[in-house]
Amino acid sequence: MTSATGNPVGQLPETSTAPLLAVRDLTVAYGGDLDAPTVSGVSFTVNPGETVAIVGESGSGKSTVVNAILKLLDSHVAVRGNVDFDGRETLRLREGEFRKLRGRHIGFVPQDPTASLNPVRRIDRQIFEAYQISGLPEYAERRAYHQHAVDLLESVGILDPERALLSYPHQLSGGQLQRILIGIAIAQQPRLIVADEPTSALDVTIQKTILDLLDRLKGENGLSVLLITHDLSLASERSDKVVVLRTGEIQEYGSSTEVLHHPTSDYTRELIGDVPSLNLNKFTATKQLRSGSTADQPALTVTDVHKTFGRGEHRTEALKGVSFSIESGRTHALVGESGSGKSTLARIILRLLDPDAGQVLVGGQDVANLARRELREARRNLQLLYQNPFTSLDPTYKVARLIEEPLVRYQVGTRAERREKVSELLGVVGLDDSFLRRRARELSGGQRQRVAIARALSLDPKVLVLDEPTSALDVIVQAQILQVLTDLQVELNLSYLFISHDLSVVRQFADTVTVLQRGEAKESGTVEEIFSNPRNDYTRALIDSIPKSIHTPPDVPKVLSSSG
Amino acid sequence: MATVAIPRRPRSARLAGSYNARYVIARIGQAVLAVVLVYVLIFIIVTVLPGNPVSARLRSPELNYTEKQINDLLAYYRLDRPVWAQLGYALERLILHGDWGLSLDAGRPVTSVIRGGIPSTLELAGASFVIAALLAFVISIGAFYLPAKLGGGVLRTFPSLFLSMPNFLIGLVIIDVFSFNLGWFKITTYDGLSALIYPAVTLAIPVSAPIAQIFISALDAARTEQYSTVAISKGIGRFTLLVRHLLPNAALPTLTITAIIVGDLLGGSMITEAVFGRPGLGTVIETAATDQDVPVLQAAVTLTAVLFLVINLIVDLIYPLLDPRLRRATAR
Amino acid sequence: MVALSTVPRARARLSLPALTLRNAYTLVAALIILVVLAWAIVPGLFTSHSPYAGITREQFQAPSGAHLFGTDQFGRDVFARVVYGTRSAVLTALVAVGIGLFAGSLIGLVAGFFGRAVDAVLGRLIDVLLAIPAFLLAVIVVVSLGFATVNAAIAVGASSVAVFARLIRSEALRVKGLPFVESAYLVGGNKLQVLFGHVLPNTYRSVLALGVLQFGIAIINISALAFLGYGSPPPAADWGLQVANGKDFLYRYPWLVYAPGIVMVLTVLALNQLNKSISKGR
Repeated sequence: MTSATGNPVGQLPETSTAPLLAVRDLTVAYGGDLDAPTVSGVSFTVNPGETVAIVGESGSGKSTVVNAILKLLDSHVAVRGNVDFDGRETLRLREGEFRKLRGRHIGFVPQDPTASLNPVRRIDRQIFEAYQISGLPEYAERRAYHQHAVDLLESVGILDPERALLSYPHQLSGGQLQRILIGIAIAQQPRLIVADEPTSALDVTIQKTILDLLDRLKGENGLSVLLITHDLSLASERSDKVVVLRTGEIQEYGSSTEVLHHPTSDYTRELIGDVPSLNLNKFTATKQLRSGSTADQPALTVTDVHKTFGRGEHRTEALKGVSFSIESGRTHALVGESGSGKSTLARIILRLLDPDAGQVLVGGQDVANLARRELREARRNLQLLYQNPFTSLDPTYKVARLIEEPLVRYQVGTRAERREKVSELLGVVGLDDSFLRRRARELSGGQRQRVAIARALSLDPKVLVLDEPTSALDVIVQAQILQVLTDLQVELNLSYLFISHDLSVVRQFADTVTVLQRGEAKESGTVEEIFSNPRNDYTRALIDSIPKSIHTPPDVPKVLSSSG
Repeated sequence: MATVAIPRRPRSARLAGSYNARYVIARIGQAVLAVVLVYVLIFIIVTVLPGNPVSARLRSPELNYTEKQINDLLAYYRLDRPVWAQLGYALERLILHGDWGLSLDAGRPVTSVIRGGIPSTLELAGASFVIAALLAFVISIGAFYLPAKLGGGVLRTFPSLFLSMPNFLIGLVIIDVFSFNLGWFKITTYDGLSALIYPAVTLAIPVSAPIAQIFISALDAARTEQYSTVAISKGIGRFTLLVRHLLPNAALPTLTITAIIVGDLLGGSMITEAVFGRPGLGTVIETAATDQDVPVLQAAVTLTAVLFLVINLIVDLIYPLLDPRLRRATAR
Repeated sequence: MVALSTVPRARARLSLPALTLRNAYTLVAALIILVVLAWAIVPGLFTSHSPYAGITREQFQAPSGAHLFGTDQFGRDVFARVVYGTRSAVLTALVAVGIGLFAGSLIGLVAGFFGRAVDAVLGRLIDVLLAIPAFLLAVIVVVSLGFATVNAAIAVGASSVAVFARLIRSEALRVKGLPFVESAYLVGGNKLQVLFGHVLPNTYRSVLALGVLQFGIAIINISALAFLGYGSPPPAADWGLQVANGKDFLYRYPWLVYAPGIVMVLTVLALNQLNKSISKGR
């Protein structure tokens, strides 16, 4: 393979300073065979004070690049190329030598904060450990550790540092833990921070504050940051340079503005075309093909639903009287962060949970108060598409059986008729008959979600509840699945309840929206109204958390020019 | 004998408070209930299963009881009454009078038959437990740290190998090698330390296997956790990583399996004592089983279950001390 | 440990042999099990000697070409006795595992799937069964039923019920919480359809793995019962009984212990290896 090394595209702005981190022709092979590499010919540099983002989907090799730089790969993994840190070759450095750079010169911020601190050690001990190993003169005295740690946590925005220091990880929230981990990363005053998807496990509004914190610390301490992310819009907002990786090879490398405005590779162009926050009107044209809403009554009406869990001290009010309705053949979105009650509400609508009070009307029937037999009939009209197609399809079933199962349970048609229906449904979601005999685990995430859609549609329901149907998928696949769902709405006049935490997807995909916070509907209306004129602080915070399209390509119309 | 299963503390333990008096009392209550249920279960097994051995046994010619002795024992166990009534009387005797019943063999109280065997077996089980724990620790750390070429790979196969060797076979091999071939001890007259060491090692080998198995996989798991990566990226060395991060986390499942393995220790001591001709509780059980002396058997097995339950209770109670996630500060 | 990225000069090929080595272990294990099964089914193909008839003047012969594992005190061929003893070892272990697997699966599946009060009662039962050392439980059962190999098998099976029940209970609990189970209800399935259509098939692999492991443990425990004299009486050709018989001659004629012993260890070791391969899904 003549690997595309160096700078395939996009000339870099010349800098006079020597780079802090220079990666040259990095090739990694997990199998040990460098002719069949996982990552090949990756080169880029990080200058002092610069933020460089490595962008890629799952399987792009972005984590492999990071692990190679941090020397976290297993010993049997073959590596070739050069990594220079501060002018010194580190790839061939002995472990004992490289250890002196870890923490002290290169800090690391991990992906999932809740799994990244030792669960059985107190927070302060885990911070002190960094002080102890640093060898810095200000950390010579153990007695001063506590004060140092208090100052450190204050600087990363922990409100009650004394209490946090005496806590164990499970007693703190994900956002707090990520702040502490950033604190640990900067504790030894390193010059480079490697942040591996530092916000992907956090709520959107928290994501923004964590990224702001990283930016601030970078400015204060003159740090360089190597940011790993799957989110191109986030990368372009936060970094000076972007490296776009795909299946272990560089597609694009250049300044953020350059990459966003003048992408040279087809892949980057496709990626830019599929990032929701850069293409808010992506589905507008398709949506206009839908017939006008003919039915006089809404497809789904939710009225004043209440739900409380637990009792006594542990009592939590999950839903405090939520109401909304979905016009037939249209999409209504429920937006909120974890704990907002949106999943509880979805489960109540499907009657997987009983509400304490309230009505859920589907086709004139109150699902919340149906007897079991009637409920079973009502559910034919009301199906669910799950968030994660890796757990929502039985791994022991073949595709044909997965799609046929609902028909069998409701005894629809003869065996032959069911066969035909299954094959037809596969076609509708864009798969062919060759998939019938395959098992779910042999399929990719996008293919699985298509199968899940076919399964949900097999009983010809009128309303589909879509529970974050794309949040487990890569950007390009997400766009494809959303397109399939939009097409189906045009074709079958389906009504969707779309549950999401991602406002830019909601803006693309839904017609109307309800914003939920701690069990209350904060705001309701058409997506255009809510976006252009949010009346509520929380809604505003959510909209703010969308990576700003400061580099919005000129050919994409701005949000406000909506057709309504 | 040793079975390896995923060790998991019951949920009650995971949610409980560490110094919560109500929790401690509840756990003790559960353990006491379990003891009673064990006794009942064993009673059901020996009475309800076909071929009720007690009355058949009493009339066996080799025991040579007089008609009066037989009638006395029949009356004592109320064998004329329905099974559930018998159980009631047995429980009443046990709970109200602490009476474990009479041996069918000499008409002696069961307690006096059993008592003699207890110290020797506890000695054996204790020594064996220490050896098993040390063995498991050495194997696990070796398997975890040594590169495959330097024996790490071989050490990883030890648990599986140990698990495949029947206790009695290990005992015979040890006798053959150390007594017959090397002459380190004489099987007929050995005493003192060697009378303890060889049986203890025999018993320890299969018992160490599940402990090592769980310990190794817990260390491996802890090493791949993200918190280990974060700890490494602070710049700490491998020894610090082991002591501060891997061991405290790997200790938790290992402790659970160690407590569970106590049952195998007690079951295995019966075979070991038989192989080495070492008197103890196991010998008592063996004699009782061969003679079908059900009351002795029942009491001895219940006793081992009690020991098992006590040790698991203790582990349940110290678990929150090791794992802060199991603590609930003051609530409840 | 803390990884040292090797930067090989030439092509690295370290992981490939490791991969095939594990497969080789599995292959050898499978071969051993196949041989053992063949011994159990058609012992006559493997030896021309009789396991019972001995030639008195040929007693205590050391292993040789004529007598692969030597002869015992009655001049019986030890190899023939091991081969013919396989059937009883395999069959009894099969009975034991069958009992444990069936009763344990039923208890565990019902407890885990239905939960609440059912689980509270059955869970207690499992705890109590687990508290009695498995081997002693087997001794009690075999004493109650009477000394015979079949009863030993039943006893060992009974003593493994709790182990199966515990595993399957936790598996059922895990599977029950997965989205595809909820989805099965949403598309119109009832409890029984979900239990047998989704929960049971998804616990299958771990149950199979445990079954193989318990098969080896059953061989050990049944032979231990036989060793103590709670199985069928001599002259039955049973592995444990052979070791027990041989122990009296251990000093002078150690092969009487070692030959059946090594066969037993290899068989169980092979089963343990298969268990590993199954649970890793290879």
